[in-house]
Amino acid sequence: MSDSAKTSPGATAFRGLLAASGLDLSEDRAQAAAEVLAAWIPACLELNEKMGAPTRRTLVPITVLAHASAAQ
Amino acid sequence: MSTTSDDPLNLTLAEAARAIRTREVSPVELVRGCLARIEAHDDGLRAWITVCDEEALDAARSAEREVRSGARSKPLLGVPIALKDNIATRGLRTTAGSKILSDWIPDEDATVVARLREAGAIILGKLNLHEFAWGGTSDNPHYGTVRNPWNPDRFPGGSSGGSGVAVAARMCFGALGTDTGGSIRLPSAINGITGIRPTYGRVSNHGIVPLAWSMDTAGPMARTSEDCAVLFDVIAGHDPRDPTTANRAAPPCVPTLRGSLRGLRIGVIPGYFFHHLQPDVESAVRRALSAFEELGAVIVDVPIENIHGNISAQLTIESAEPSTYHQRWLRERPQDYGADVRTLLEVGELMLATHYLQAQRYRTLLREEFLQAFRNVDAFVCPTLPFTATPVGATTVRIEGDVEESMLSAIMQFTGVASLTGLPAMSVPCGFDSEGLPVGMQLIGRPFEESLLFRMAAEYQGVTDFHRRAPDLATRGASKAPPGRPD
Repeated sequence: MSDSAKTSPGATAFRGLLAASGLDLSEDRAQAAAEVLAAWIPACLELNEKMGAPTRRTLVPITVLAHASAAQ
Repeated sequence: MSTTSDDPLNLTLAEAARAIRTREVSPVELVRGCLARIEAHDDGLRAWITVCDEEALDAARSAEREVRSGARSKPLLGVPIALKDNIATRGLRTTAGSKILSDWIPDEDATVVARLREAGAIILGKLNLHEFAWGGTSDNPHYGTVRNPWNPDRFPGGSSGGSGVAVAARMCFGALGTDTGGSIRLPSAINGITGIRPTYGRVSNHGIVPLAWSMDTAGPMARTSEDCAVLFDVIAGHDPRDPTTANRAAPPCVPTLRGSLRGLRIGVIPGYFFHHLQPDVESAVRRALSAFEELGAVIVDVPIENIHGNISAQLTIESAEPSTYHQRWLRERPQDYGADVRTLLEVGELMLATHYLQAQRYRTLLREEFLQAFRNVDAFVCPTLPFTATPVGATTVRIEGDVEESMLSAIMQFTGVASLTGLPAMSVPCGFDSEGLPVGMQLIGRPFEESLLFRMAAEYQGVTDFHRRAPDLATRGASKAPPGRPD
């Protein structure tokens, strides 16, 4: 990352995320992860928006524990 | 070494099983033929991690004795098959394509392996894959880059790349792969073979190294629909050791393999299934749809309003779940991962829980839409992937014009849908592009209706011969070891 990129709000947030994960990444590895995330996050945010629609409030994640009889 | 039309290696799995039962061929002859072909060509193709030559020959001799004694009820008696190397085999190294598990020798078979052995199959060995099944190229830094038998300069797809190549190159009669985001269907399409991702919960995952628990599914890869049905009937069904398997009957699919498709309603999602793909792929799949019409099926446009978003949901889930499984290794042995998988695992650690759960909620939405659509159609047909085999080592792909796209997201454009919804999906050879590289189409069915997919594919293969064609390894140079491969 360039010096200005290292101090940008996005870079600060990214460092916070890294700290929360407990991963100790070198600068180049952090850069590689940041690039992938930068490519993926806009679509995640778009999906968040779609799933936040009032008509979808009742949808539960597919990870919900299903009783065997109800799942079949 | 190339095969000839009367070479027993050109038999399909089902034909080989029948020929063994009627004593037209011997299991020993088949195993020897497969081993010779592996010996001749795998230095270049790198489909195999472990070859069990002595054990396979011993098993073949034993199977031959069984046949002579009149015991012919086992459906796979004496048939040489192989396993993706993330499927545990008792007493036999199971690496998952990784350095981390390079010394792991399981003390029990995965459920699917135990069922195959019980059915009389001969395990020839373990097949190469993308490291830990997390990727679509099978460019493996530890066990060599798997190469496409139709053109060794091209990639074989993944993550079950070794399975796709070994079947296409006639090194075994069938294989098992695993599919999280497309890992059975993609290498099936790219190598010109048939492969099915069964309904989530239809086949046990017990003893299989996980990638993403909520989507992982094991399934057959072979030459024909009939071959896959034979394998599927053996491995499908409830397993008390895997709580994700459905506790419901798994009626055999082989007996209903053939039957009229008259009146069958096939759905096509307008604006998605034939959008953003290479022209040769589009024309091959459209010709396949015409073939289905000639077989009596009706093609129906079925909009799926929320189809867009599936690739993002797929990437989010498929990054967060593996990173959870790998969390400890990633801290203790990060240097033992290949560069691409290590980066993806690090990225998965940084995914927000809210992104992951919105992706899981999206699956509910998408599944409901598909289940609703299945009131109007019996199956969907689309390309398996939007392009044919790209050059080995490529991390981007051109689908339209000069725009380079990420291989990872482009490759799952059409396969992610079944992975997210848990629906059964099958890849079937349906043509070749202008460079002679295979094209596959994907059939997607209702939950637990694999039998219909087998029937559709069998009827289609009854009027086409794409599944019968074999790569000519002798003239493609596949026996030569490419430079730069690991020792």
